[in-house]
Amino acid sequence: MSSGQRFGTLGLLYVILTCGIWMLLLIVAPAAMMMDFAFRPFLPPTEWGSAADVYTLRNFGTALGDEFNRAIFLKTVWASVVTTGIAFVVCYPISYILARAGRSSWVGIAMIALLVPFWINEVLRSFAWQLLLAHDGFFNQVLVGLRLVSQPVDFFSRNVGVLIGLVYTYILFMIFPMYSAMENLDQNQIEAARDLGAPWWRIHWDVVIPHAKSGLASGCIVTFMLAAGSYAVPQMLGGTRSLWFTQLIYNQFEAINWNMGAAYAMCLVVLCVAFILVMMSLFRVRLRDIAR
Amino acid sequence: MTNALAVRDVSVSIPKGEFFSFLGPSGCGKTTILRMISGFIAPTCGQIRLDGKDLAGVGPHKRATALIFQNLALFPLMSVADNIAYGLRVRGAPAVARRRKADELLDLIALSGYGDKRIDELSGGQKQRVAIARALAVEPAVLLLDEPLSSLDLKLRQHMRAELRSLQKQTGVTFVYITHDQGEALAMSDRIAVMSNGEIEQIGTSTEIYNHPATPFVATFVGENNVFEGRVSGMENGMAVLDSEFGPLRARNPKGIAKGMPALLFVRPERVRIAGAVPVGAVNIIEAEVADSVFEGVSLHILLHRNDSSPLRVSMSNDGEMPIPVRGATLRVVFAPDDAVMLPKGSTA
Repeated sequence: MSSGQRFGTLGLLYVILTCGIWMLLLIVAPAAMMMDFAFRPFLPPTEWGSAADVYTLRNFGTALGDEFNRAIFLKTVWASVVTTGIAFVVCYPISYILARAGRSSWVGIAMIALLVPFWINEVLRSFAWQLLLAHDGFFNQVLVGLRLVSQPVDFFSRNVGVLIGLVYTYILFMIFPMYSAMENLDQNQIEAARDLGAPWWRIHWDVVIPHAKSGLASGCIVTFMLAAGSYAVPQMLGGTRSLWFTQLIYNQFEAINWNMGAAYAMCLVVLCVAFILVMMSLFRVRLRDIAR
Repeated sequence: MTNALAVRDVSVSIPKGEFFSFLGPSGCGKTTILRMISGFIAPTCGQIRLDGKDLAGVGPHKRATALIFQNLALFPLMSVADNIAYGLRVRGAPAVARRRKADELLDLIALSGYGDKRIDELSGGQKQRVAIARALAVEPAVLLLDEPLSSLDLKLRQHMRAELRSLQKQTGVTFVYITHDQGEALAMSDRIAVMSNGEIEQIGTSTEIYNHPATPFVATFVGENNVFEGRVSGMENGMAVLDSEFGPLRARNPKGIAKGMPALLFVRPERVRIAGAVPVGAVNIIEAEVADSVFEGVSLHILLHRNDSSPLRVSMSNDGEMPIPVRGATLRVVFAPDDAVMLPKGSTA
């Protein structure tokens, strides 16, 4: 039965209208405007439409050609990749154990325990990390107290604070797709592989990962995109020497240079799309597998 | 998890190359036994030995046993050949050797040329055979089968019985088969252990189990049986006499139940015959009203009315001459004391 028959023409119309308005007004139109901005030079309003107002790649030249900008762009890329990697390594065992535990009551408790911190605003959580990682914060007091370091560590200047903050902030977006993909794996598949002589790592490589690949891919994609596009975490947990690309975008818009800001933002969008394509070919999944 | 024992006091010795079945209702502990043999759970006490060597502490991936799961658990993302050769792959066998073994086993299960197919392209019976081939590929000393036929339809199930049996004879691998289906167990097994509540009730060949049940549970769980309850009133010509609702009934007394003790008398429906004229000195004659007649083509089942229990079943093969008794008619039936067995009163299935 098609959805048109079940909910009537009115229901179908509702879906088309709401989704259509959302798509056109809030996604397609702003994106088109961004594109338009990004390829035009920054001009005072009096010169809009004049001979100088032509499409050009100059903004992109500045966005990535400038050494300072490029360094920050690349830093954002690898730091987001590292964030995704750490989140993957941390979340995989958690998701697997939770998924395998079946309907035990502690799974529900663990899920709630994972969720509760996320009821608190991202800015507040980042602020909490700021306090924990501060010069005389909890971690430094412990490290110095145990004489593991002689001087308090400056977590903020070396991206460590940003990485910790990003991993913590986006860990759920990694766990839940992983968990739901692993959860419906038949326990007998794992036991069959084991019975046939597979060591534990082979079971993961041959049975669990192929089964859960769409969940793993979407977890990685979402985590990467959120990390690369994060603003609050680098703003609060990064020092002056660990700028994030989003902060550059913000600075451009704040300086009223929307054209340059749009070009910067486009670079980030292209990066994310490229990452999605890389993950899809890495996990050999199609777009519709991830959408599930 | 509760601390109830799933299995206790199970002691079985299975010779090499035997087709051995554990037969029992669900929850009787047979799956627990299989999982203990395969190494997925450890017995709390006792030993499991293979070729004389204790398997304690040996993980399932290191045991020379291969398990066939109830739902088969084939790997859906691998081809048929990759499924079959998986055990060899984890052992590090080269691709050529894996392919050769897969082809060889595909020949054995009559699926030559199916190696590159996907699992979901196979029929139920074909999947069944691939699961067996996958287990045989690692050349196990013992193949463990956990009700692998239960998901198939009746016709295929009967076909697979014969196929499993011939595969077992062909390969010479010891089969340990778990089932709640007595037809399967009787048709395929060299020997059967009938289980109830975590304990073995009887171990024997199909004919021993069927013709000479050792306990009331076995008598009622395996095949159909008519039960008569009463006390032993005496002995006569080596037969025990039961004081039943139909008067004295005579049967073998292998357990030597003493006079005055409560007992159950069992007689198979196919051993009860319709008596014409009553011969002189005949015993075990029952007269009752026909409650129903069920004609099944090959056989005819007549149900005779009994007051306080399920009807008395009489089964006979269709000889084409026997008129089908009408409901309400009175019928006289008889069975030989040798065809009936008396057992101490105990739990029935």
